[in-house]
Amino acid sequence: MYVMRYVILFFIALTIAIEGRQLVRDRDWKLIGIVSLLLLIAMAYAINADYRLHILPNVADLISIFEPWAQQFNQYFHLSS
Amino acid sequence: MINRMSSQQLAFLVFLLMLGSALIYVPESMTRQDAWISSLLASLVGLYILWAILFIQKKYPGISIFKISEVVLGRITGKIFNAFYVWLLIVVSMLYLYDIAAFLMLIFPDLPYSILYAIVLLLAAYLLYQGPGIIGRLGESLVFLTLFLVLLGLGMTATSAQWSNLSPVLSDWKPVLAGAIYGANWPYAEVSAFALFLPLLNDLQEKSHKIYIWYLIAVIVLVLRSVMVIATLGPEYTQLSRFPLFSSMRLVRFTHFQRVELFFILLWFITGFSAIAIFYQSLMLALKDFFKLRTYRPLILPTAALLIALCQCSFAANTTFLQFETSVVTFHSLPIHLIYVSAVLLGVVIHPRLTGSG
Repeated sequence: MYVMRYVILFFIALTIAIEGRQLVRDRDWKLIGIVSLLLLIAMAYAINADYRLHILPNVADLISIFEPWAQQFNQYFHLSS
Repeated sequence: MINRMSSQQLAFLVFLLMLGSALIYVPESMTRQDAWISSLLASLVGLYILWAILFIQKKYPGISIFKISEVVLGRITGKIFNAFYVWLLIVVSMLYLYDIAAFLMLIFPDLPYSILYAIVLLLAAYLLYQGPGIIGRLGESLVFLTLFLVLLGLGMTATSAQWSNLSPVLSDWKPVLAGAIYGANWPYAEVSAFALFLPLLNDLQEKSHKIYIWYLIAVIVLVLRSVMVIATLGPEYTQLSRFPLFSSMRLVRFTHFQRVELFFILLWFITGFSAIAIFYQSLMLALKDFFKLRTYRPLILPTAALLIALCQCSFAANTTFLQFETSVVTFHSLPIHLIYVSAVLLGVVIHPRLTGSG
């Protein structure tokens, strides 16, 4: 089921419909840049998830570098996990 | 947009955030029958963070903590600290989003996670479009209903409690201490997110005591929750259960009247949704200050899209998630909460007073 990219496309369409005209009228390029960057990253992650590409860094994997600390901590403090 | 709120409204939001998803998950459950002691000890960390952010804000009323950190820690160091804090807000928002979606999965098992994420965030985005003041009003309108339902629910679980499950008390101090550290991260340290709301308050100097009062009410409720859940389910089943408070309410029966826990779906949704709405709002205020934007409005939907996509890629297995959220995430998040707030506090104490308005 390739649902993710359609969800993100829906959010892109909604952003353009609600904010697009005002953003272009104000010519606030910094804001337009940040909005585009956020949507681009979201779309990239959506494609990554839909096609199970595992190319982009995963937040849970980044945080998992602390797992050995957690294991040692649990062992020292006699915690049953 | 309604941008101002009162200390009373923020105090209600503190209460709702503290309950958040921690209400049904019991993060300190690994300390078994002493989970309530861990919860009580953990609350001291939240109290310190709350005191620190209020102290900082009273020194520099109306100025954002992001601006304060750049002044007192230096521009580059302040920016780096702020970037870490924005990252933390993204991670915690993702965790809360997954928590509420995992719970909604019980009711809508056939819906994909991405749709549940989208529904929850669209609802929260609608609030954010109205301004932070509306989240304050939401807190005001929901807090007493929440308190009533929590006390009713805990009172009802008392009917099936086995008090012997709570003994022996403090048989080993080590797990209690570790549980306190896990509990400190989730939910207590998350009170730091309110640092971004404080410049919006119009009566902080006079009525900040209300924020402490509602924090303490939340601590009492969470300690009571731990006591009731352990007494009802026992330490072993509490550890095994994905939603311990929900499971303990399933055991409540009044003669032929069963499935009482269904009455409390509203409670789980209110507290879970409030937590995600508060963190989503904090993230928006943080992005606005971090990038020095005049408004965060155009970022509301793109940030929601980003959170959905990151959540979908990051959290796949529900079975291992709780272990990850309670233990591993603590070593990532608790230091950021503590170091960020403490560094700015230290800077404020030793730095001469800021001049000019935020």
